[in-house]
Amino acid sequence: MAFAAFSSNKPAPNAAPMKSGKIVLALLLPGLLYLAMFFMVPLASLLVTSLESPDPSGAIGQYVYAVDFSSYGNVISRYFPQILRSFGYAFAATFFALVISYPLAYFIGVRLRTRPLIQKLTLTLVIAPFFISFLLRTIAWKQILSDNSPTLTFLRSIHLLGDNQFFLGTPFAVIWGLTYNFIPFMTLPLYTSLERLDLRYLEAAGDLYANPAQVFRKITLPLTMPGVISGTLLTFIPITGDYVNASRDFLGSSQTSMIGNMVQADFLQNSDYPSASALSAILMGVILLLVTVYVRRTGTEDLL
Amino acid sequence: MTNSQDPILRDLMRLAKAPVTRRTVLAGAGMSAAAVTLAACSPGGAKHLSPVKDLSSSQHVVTWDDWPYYMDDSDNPQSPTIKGFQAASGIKVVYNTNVDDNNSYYARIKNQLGQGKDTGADTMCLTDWMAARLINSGLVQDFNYKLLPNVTKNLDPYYKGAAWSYDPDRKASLPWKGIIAGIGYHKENYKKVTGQDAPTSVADLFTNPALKGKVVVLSEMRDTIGVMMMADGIDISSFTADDFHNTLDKFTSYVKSGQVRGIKGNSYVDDLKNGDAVAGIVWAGDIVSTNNELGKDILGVVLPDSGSTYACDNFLIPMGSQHAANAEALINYYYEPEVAAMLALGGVFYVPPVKADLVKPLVAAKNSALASNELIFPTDLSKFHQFRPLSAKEDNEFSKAWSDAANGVV
Repeated sequence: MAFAAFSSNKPAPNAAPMKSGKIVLALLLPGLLYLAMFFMVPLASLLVTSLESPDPSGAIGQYVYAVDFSSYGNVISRYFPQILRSFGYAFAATFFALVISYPLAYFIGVRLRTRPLIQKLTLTLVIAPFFISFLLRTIAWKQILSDNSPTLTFLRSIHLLGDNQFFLGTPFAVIWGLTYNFIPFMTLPLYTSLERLDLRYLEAAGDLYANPAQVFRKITLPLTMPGVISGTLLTFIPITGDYVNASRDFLGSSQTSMIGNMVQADFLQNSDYPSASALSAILMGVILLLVTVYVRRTGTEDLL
Repeated sequence: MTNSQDPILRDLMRLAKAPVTRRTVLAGAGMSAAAVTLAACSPGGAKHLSPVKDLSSSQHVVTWDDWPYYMDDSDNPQSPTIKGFQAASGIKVVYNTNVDDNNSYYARIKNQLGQGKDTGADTMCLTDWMAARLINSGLVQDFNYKLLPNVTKNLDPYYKGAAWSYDPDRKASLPWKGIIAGIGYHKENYKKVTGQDAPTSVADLFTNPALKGKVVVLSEMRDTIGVMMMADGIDISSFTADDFHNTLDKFTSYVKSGQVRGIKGNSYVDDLKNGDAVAGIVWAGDIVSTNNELGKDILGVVLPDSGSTYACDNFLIPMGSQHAANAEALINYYYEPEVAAMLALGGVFYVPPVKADLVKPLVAAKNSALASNELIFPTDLSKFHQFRPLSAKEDNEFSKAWSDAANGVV
């Protein structure tokens, strides 16, 4: 539904002729039912829950149906720093993921073109982390960044890190974890774009006396923009809602809580379902808004 | 009470095994939204519930939801005590260690529980304050004491009376394990960091600059704030809201200043072991278990002079249990002194609710050091303190304030 917002109003030039409506409908039905059951209904109930108000009896975790928007105001004022932080971390992690992934994808998609076997192997390496659970990977980082780990001991021995300094529980560790965990989501779309890049354009640019920086800025980057856009969307959206990396049980601390952690706290610890729902709805709304602006700005509506 | 890992984390572990695509992300969002709705759909007002029909005479099975680390010989798929019960009674035990946190366990079962339907468990073990909440809301049933002769005989009288105001006569709740909270520390690291052998007071944790960023506390509000309030000279059986907030404000300042880095469930043990924390407010039983597992005393426990909290995880039988009599047979079995001794000898280092003078000699016969361990068989239980019961309004207010402090919201 969210992505319908970006579909163009112009009819697609190669739209299939609407012949057998019934068959089309029958084919669409499972998908539509799925969407209705697992997206529309939950979304509606999320919104309904966010408007509930506390039971007059005062019992913990009891709410009655109402049209009460106060939860929205409450969560915004209560969790404003966490909301800002989520977007801040998401911007930072998306940026780092892009900076790391682009050269990587370029290397695999362009430089290794002449060696298909190595290209496929390297691509597999990018996806390889997916063979291991997201949580285990994050726990592994918790070990690697732990105070007395060989990594930190080494950094201390070369005086890059003070005796009382540490990584775990700091924004650094959280952004590190987020970046690491979402790099494949950035690399794969970039690779798809770069792999299709027509190198003759680059040659032509060179022939016209463009230096490498100009070639990159004027040819390579614009042509691979679709990959950049889908990569950044695929990382930014889930990172904003991520609550594993920033959790106190993983790489974060009280000082790194993100929106997801607050939804979790309100839902499981505080039994405050309207607030948890309102916060989720706000997260969805803000992301939708940001993504719309982003996609409109970059003129890539057709990509979605 | 020993939450090794969040249930959410465990669910995530499972989810994480599925590959993530944009579509599954959307579906996941949908499903979590569905969970929110389901939880929110529970009936608003409390209605009077009564136990459902008991099928124990025809179905010889009992399902038991419990915390991890509470069963003897935990490496064994079936513990010796459970095997013993099954052999003696002919009742099959389905033992689940799926209680990691009172709140999230409750969030999971609350719909069925609130309607008096089967929650999937015939008995579950929850901490005092949660037991109080369920008893006050009429969600759990009274025991049939005719089936509990061992309880009548062997329950330590300490666990009855006014101190347990939510159920002074133990009509609907029976203690399963007693948990002491005190100061835990890593012996070698503590010495290295502070130059002292062991912390001596709660204030040591929060005021010693050498420990900055090296302190971990329990995410269980009643234990952490309880221990801290007592250190401030407050009687936790009768504190006021101001007392609570004053101590919580101090706690918040320690979190903000970075003195306290970790606020955790049972995973604080890992932090102490690997050096991410050097000392903190902990559950004594965990420390004894860890030392036992490692085969050496690397961690230590100090019970502060200002006072330690003591809480129980309690057997409860939900209204919707169809095997209440089987559950009672099970509880009765665990109130045998021999069985309580087997648990202690099998590596369960929490305080048994059975009269110590019945259990201790049995343990001493096989392991005298264990029998004289003050953290498992305290000679004087009255030196411990219980966090006073909270009204629903206070409970709501305090829990939120605590959650805000723990999440850095304030």
